[in-house]
Amino acid sequence: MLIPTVAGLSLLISSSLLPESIDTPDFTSEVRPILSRQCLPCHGPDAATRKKDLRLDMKDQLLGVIDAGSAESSPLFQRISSEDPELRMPPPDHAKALSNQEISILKQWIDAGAAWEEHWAFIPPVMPAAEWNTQQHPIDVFIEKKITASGLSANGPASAEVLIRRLSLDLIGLPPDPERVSRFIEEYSRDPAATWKLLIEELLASESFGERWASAWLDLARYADTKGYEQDGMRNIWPWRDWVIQAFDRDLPFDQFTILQLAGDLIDTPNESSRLATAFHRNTMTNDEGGTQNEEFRVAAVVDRVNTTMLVWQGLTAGCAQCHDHKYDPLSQVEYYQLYDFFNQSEDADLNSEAPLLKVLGNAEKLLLGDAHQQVEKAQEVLDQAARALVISDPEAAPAEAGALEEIAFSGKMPALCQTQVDGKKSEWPWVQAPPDAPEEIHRVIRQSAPEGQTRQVFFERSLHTHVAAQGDRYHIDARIVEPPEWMLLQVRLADPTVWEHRGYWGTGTFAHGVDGTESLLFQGELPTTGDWVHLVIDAESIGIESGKIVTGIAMTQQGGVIEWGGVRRESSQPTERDDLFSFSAFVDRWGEDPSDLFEPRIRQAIGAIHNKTDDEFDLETWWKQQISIEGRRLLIAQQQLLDQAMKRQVEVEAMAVSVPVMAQLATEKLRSTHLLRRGSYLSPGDPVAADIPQFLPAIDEASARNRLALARWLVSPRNPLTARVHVNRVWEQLFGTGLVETLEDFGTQGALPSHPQLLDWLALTWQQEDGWSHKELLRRIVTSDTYRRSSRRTPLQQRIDPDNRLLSHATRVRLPAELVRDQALAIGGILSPKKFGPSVYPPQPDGVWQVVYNGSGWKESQGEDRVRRSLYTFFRRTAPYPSMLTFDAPTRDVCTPRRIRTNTPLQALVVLNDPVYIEAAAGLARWSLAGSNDLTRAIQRAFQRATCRQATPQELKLLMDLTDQQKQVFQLDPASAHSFLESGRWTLEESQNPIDAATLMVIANVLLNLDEVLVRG
Amino acid sequence: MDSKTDLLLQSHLEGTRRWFLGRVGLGIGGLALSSLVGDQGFGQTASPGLLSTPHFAPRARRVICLHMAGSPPQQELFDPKPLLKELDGEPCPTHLIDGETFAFIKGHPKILASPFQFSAHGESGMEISELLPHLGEVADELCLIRSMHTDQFNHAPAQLFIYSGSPRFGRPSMGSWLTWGLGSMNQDLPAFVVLVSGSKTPSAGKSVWGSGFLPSVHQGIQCRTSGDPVLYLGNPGGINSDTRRRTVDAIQELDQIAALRDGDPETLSRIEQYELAFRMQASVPEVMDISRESPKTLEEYGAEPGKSSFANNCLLARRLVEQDVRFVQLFDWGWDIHGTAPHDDIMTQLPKKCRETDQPIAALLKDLKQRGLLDDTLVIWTGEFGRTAMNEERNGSKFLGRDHHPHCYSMWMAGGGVKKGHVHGATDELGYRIVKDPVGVHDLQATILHLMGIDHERLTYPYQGRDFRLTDVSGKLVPGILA
Repeated sequence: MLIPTVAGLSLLISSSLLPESIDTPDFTSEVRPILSRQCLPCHGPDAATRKKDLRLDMKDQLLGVIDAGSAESSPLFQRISSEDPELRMPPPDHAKALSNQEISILKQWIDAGAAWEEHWAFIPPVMPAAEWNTQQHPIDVFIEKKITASGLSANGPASAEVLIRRLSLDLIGLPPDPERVSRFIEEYSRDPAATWKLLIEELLASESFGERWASAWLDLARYADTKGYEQDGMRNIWPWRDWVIQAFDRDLPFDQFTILQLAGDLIDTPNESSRLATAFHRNTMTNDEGGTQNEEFRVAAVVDRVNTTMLVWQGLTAGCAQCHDHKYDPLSQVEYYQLYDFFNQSEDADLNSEAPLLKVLGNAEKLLLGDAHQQVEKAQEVLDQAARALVISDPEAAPAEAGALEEIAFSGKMPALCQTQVDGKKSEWPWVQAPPDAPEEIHRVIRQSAPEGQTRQVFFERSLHTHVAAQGDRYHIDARIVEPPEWMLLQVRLADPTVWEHRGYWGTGTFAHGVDGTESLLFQGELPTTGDWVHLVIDAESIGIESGKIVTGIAMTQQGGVIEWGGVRRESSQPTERDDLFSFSAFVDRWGEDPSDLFEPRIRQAIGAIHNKTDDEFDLETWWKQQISIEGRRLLIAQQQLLDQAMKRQVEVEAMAVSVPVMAQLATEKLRSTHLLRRGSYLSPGDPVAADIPQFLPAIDEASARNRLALARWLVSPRNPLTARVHVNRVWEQLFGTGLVETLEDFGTQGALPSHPQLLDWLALTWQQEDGWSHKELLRRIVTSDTYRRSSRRTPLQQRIDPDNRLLSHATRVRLPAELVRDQALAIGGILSPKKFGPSVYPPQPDGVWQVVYNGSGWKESQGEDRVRRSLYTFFRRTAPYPSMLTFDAPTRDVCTPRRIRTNTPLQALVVLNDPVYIEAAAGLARWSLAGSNDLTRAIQRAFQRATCRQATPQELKLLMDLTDQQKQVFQLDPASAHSFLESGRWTLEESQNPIDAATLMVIANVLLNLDEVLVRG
Repeated sequence: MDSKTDLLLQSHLEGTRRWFLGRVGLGIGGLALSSLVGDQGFGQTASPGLLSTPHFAPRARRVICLHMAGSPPQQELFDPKPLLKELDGEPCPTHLIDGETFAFIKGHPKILASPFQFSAHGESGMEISELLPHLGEVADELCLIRSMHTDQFNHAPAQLFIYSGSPRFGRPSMGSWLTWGLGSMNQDLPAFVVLVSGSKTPSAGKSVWGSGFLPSVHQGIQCRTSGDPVLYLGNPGGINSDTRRRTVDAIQELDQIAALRDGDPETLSRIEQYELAFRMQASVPEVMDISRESPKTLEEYGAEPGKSSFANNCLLARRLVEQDVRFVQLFDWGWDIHGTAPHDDIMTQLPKKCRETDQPIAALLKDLKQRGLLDDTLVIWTGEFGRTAMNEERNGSKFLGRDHHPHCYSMWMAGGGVKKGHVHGATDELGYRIVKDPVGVHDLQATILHLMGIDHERLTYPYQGRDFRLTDVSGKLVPGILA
């Protein structure tokens, strides 16, 4: 048995509940529905089908065919009750006659004076007189009045266990964890009122709050991650979804929430956030199919914006008036296109690019960018410190001049970043003081000895400085042979792939590397004499060091013998620009831009002067050559590299910005001329129209520009009779399962009447006037009532008298919405990821669900925690939505869906029984329940408590224990099945755990997740 | 169920039913009673649907709809046009392009003759293309309509138009309307089953079998030929049918305790849904298992167990209607013959698609007839629109192809209540516009509903302020095709 939730039904219930007087029929609840249904199709707002130009929806014309006080003499009554087929209304060939009951209602109403009322929803709400004392909650007073009148009595409060689960699911969309439940029950028993308030505040402040309420808003906004239509290509609009989540988290007042989404680009000071908000109306579909007319689908999008705006904020079904005057509500086709004009002036035009676009970072990327900024600042700071410390006297560090020799290996000075290896092993350098007879330039030497037949090398993996080889370069080696080796060798390393393959040697014999006689191993001469300091010279080009090559390393190698190596120097035929370390101009280029923090004022000034090409007395170059050590320069450069990396990261993060389609107004000279579209067709424009509000609604501010901003402000102005009512009704439906007006999507004359009109008005007015449109205040106001806290147990009397519980004598049990069914299971299984925001994710779904024409994109299953995020982050493809969401009544998001119709089907059972997500959740619940113990009874109790928030009764426990015993036997006889089931739940057991017990407990968990009590909010 | 639960169930069901039935007397029209009282998922026969009795005596009780997604060219299959031969390669007369919008054709296109021959078949002498030799054998069963037309010339809107009566998303599909109105005839199977071949779903996606604003229980259930035939039908690894039975028993027993405690009739409904789910786990794989068919039958259809093919789907369609599934919808992708390459041209792709579908369709008609099912099963074959008399020549393509064309196309029906060996309507000499008995999409829908015993103007659903129906605000019965 389905809970009846179909449009029109509540009309019945309401009419049985509402009339205050038995004798005089109520115009709104009884008379108007008859006129509306039976008469308005031909005597209503639609001018095209109107007969005899008679409108019975208008007071004057209706009363014109009525003699108030006398039905018998009223033309209207005469016609509807006539036996003459020529006279009878509706005409017999057109429709059936009114029923006797309908005729009788109209007669009584006319006889009683034919009191007319405007349609209730178009009259501004009136604050009801306070009929409550300070001890009472106004909601309870409104509700209890009707319960008492019906002869029913209200239930008492639900148990603490039920209450905490109800409030958690309602406010944050997640169940409470077991520890929180225990604490709540304990505290609630001592002080229910204070404990309840505390829980409300805790949940309103929860990080999960915004996600739950955003989830409901997405149906209204027809949010999806694709463009719709045949191609149904991808669209980056998830940053808008995150905007909505944050808006609810931060409790952005609903009036602001409205203005930003409808016109955030038009406010006085638009910013990124306000422009992003306007993506609300870019959730319309875009048609990428080849050969489609962009204008046709642009018009379709504008129409969708009109319809959606009117549905979401006014609860009106304006869409009917797209093709003709509305049949029932006083909205003409002209007025429809006046509304249309508000939305017809935006730049978007069904382009494949979806322009206009706004580049924005997701929230996660914004955090990354913050980190990157910090890294940059930190690197900058360290660099500044390093720069201040770098003035060290270092007179030896002179640049190369033509003909001069410069050290490229060692000269007793150890380069800061050099590493050295001897025979492949890192070791201390065998430094010795240069002997007195050494050449003047030599301060220290390396004394290297090699056993006979063995090779020893001194590597400078990085040359003392990296330099660019020039034509005519020569390498000078100072060395003294103490004991003669078989041969000695110089190797040079280049920064290109030939690396070390450049060698010159003296002596006889072969090295294991290189080809003798080539540049990789070129004979230079006989071994020099033993005992004396010798000066050996190699022509760089002869061993392949061509001009322009970058020399990065030097090695001195010997086989056998003992040699004191005194160093390698480079002789260049011309002065050369070298890398940053040695190039003064590079130094100025690098530091000249902004030297302010780096150097003392005198130098700063000098750098500035050089950079600006002005003369200065201070010889900066000399200072640089003489005062800044090579080591210091290296430090500076290393720090600069860190800074460069940090800045590069910053740029990378900034590049993660995604382009979100947003609204943007056309320039004044490009504004479109809006026409009525005959039969709604873009090919048949009619008379021009200008933006305006339908007559039956309060006028828009004359002074304001007629644009989206004015429309948005009008929607949330105190004069508007509908916006607040429609939204509080929507929130009420989320908390009670049914709206005070059951037809969330229709507050017009065909919609249901409110079950508690005064309560609706009181809520709408206090929300605007006292709560400042705060969503959290509204929730606080409702959930603090007794009405919200009642037990949901239903008596046969309640069931008989009020089967839909419109009187709210008890809480309504509500099957959780699709997203919550899955989120709750993940939470109970302890596997729900708390990660918020970001691009939509691809949790596991069966193969073959995504087969979309002309669009090769596949479902790439997310890994890690993205598999188990809250459902509002699941990628939403319009032509193939996530299957289990559809099964639980989620809409396809093609158009605005104000209300989901709940169903109860076997396909839902199959999802929770078999969908791998739920099997994984069952495994999670079982794993948690065991918690290191092998006590199955205890585990079952724990699992039951976690799933339902309450203790199992002995009867329930026995039932589950019986199943446990049976299932254990089955798995014992067939352990492979147990293992297979564990695998289905992706559960890897610890060694101490018994697989039979674990799998059995998983079966129990699978049962628990499928319980009505778990799938339903009690 | 123990007697106490039974009593509770009875009292709730009775109470609720009485309550609604009492209200019905008030004459509230258009109320979806099925979703309130009788409709407890598609497994029920007790309260079949909105209409306790149809508006008229139905001529068909079930529908098989064969949709060639992409739209086959009528000139090559069902509507021979000798004049095209004479004008082949000539620039087309300007009245064909004046004021016309094409999806892809640019400039002044040339007439394209069909390279295929037609011949008369059966006693009726119906002219059918050489590409469809098997269908020719059953020509005397067909009611061919050469005068279909539509408003839409893009795939997704055109498909939505045919199946939901509106080119926009969000309306219920024909199968949903029918099952909502007529209910299900089978305890254990969905009333509305969808089978897809050609490896892609139709352009408009699942909306062409969606339930729109009708309760989602009426949406088409896509049965798949690989993996689970219905999503999540199979038990997870390690859980066999016995274990599943035990767990469902436990769920039901615990739910009964809850029902007694909370007094919520919806809980009792859930108990039933779990029972149906369990039964479907056996019944659906069984009906989907074509290996139970004789080798002869398999050969006639060209079906191969384990493969995913249109032939298999035709055989499945027969198995499903045999089990009284109300509406079986087949989609076969690959008919969008633009002629940009061999994979979408007239000389290669079209004959290939015809080979894949011709034999199985003929076999389906013969098989239904032989089993006595054709009398009250309506078989429908169609695309979503027609194709142009001109060669598309997109970007100067050398492959032959035709662009989208809404003004006329051919489709056929067979079986329950339609004329046999009959051709309805005609197009002009170039096959460009209709010259006789035009049939619009809403007219076709009205006629299909009529054959099922429903007055299309009286099957309505109140939503957002108005009564909606499949045929929107138009649609006229086409008496000329009724037997």
